[in-house]
Amino acid sequence: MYWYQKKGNEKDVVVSTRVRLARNLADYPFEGRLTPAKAEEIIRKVTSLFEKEAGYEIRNMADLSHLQALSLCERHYISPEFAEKSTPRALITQNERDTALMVCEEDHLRIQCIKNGLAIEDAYVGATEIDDLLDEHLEYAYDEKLGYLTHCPTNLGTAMRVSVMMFLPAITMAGQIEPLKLQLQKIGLAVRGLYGEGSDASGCLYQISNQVTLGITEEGTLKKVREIVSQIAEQERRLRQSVQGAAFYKLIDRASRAEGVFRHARLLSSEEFLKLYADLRLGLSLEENGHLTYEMLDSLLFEAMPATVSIGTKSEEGTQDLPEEYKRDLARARTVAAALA
Amino acid sequence: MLCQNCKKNHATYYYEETINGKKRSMALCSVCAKKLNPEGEHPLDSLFSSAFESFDPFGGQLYSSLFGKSAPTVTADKKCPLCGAQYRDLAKSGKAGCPKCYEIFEEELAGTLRSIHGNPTHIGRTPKRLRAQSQKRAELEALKKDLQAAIAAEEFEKAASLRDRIRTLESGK
Ligand SMILES: [Zn+2]
Ligand SMILES: [Zn+2]
Repeated sequence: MYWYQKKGNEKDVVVSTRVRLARNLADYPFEGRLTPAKAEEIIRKVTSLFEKEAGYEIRNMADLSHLQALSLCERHYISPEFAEKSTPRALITQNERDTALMVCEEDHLRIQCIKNGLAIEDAYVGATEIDDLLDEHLEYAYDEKLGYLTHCPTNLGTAMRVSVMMFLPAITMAGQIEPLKLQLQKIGLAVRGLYGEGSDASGCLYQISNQVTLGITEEGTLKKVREIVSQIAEQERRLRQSVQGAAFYKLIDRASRAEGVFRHARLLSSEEFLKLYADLRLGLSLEENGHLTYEMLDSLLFEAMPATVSIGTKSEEGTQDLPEEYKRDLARARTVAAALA
Repeated sequence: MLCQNCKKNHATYYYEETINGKKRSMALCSVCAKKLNPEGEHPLDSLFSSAFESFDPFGGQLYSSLFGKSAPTVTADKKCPLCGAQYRDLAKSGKAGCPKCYEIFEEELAGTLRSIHGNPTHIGRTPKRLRAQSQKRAELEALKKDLQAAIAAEEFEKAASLRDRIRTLESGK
């Protein structure tokens, strides 16, 4: 089962939680100065540690097509940079623990644990399990003052990024995203639109993450993010509850129409998908819907992205000569309708 | 890093000039850099700036017009022994060449690191091999304190056993 198909906490406002740790080996240059031979050496060293561990899957990225790499990126297993690189690199995943390890990304090692819904502690524990395993056998680049040494100096210290993907339609509609951004910036957190901002195609999805990594402990960072996320969640819920009368019916009408399109559309672009996804997801929190769950909708969010949708479905009879975009939109509509059927 | 000319502003440029075969390097703020480079037609070697802009469109040549007649050259000698990077490589990319770079270019990087992180020291997780080390160091210090207290109190039997434990710890067993 993929991480986004599992059950999650506080799904009305949180899509996912991710903790990422950057680690490097003391005796090797960083990306750019790392020869392919040296990169292969790191990959051999690291993958050999996981070959006998239960439940780990090791992929040599060179064996994957570009489309397969992009699909892993769309489903948040790897970073866009990692998907696009052509130098030697490997991916190690553990589906049961929702962990992934990118070998030879920008840093030699990028450990991540991604959980459905709000699960900051669990995600941290998952990431440190891999960290401990690696630490046991490898010599990390580390400095007493600067902490874990990273390619980019902005990550020095804990080299940890905690990010919570939140669904904030009410805050967005209330025009409060910009003020929120400024407020969070002052305390060392960042808010970033996941698919652009302000447009209909943004899906009202935002990533809240820590910016500070030096001079703060991991626990301190987790606590800070947890506190802020719960404050934002409270604000979002309060705003949703304040919707009454005509506005309420307008919103649940939009959700029902979105569901109608999802069930019956034949062509569905990713822009339209994101807009309807947000309408329908907000509707779920305003009114019971016996046949839909947040988990279902979020699975679609990850599986209806361009590369994943192209891989997942064989093209229909008679569509071979259509432009790629049409094939994708046809496939997306089919994927969405099938999931809701 | 403060500007070495006015000693007031934050330095954002880095120069080296050679006069009569003697090399002198300087970190300057933008105001002083402009003063000392009146032609002002070339961008100067930006310090590993927090903006991380790539700045060197003219390759190495842009340093040559600095300080009028003194024909300055860029710091070219110091190289990281592990990855071969020079400070200017770090400045150009905004990123370190390898972990060792942080030690080799510690001085040069100080200003940049301060502008990114302020001036704090790491207080988070530590690799296991160092965790054991720092634990051992703390334990030794505590034992030595106890030893002194025991001697002062003339508890010689206790002192002897403490001394044994310190010896064992120090011998690495
Ligand atoms: Zn100055
Ligand atoms: Zn180096």
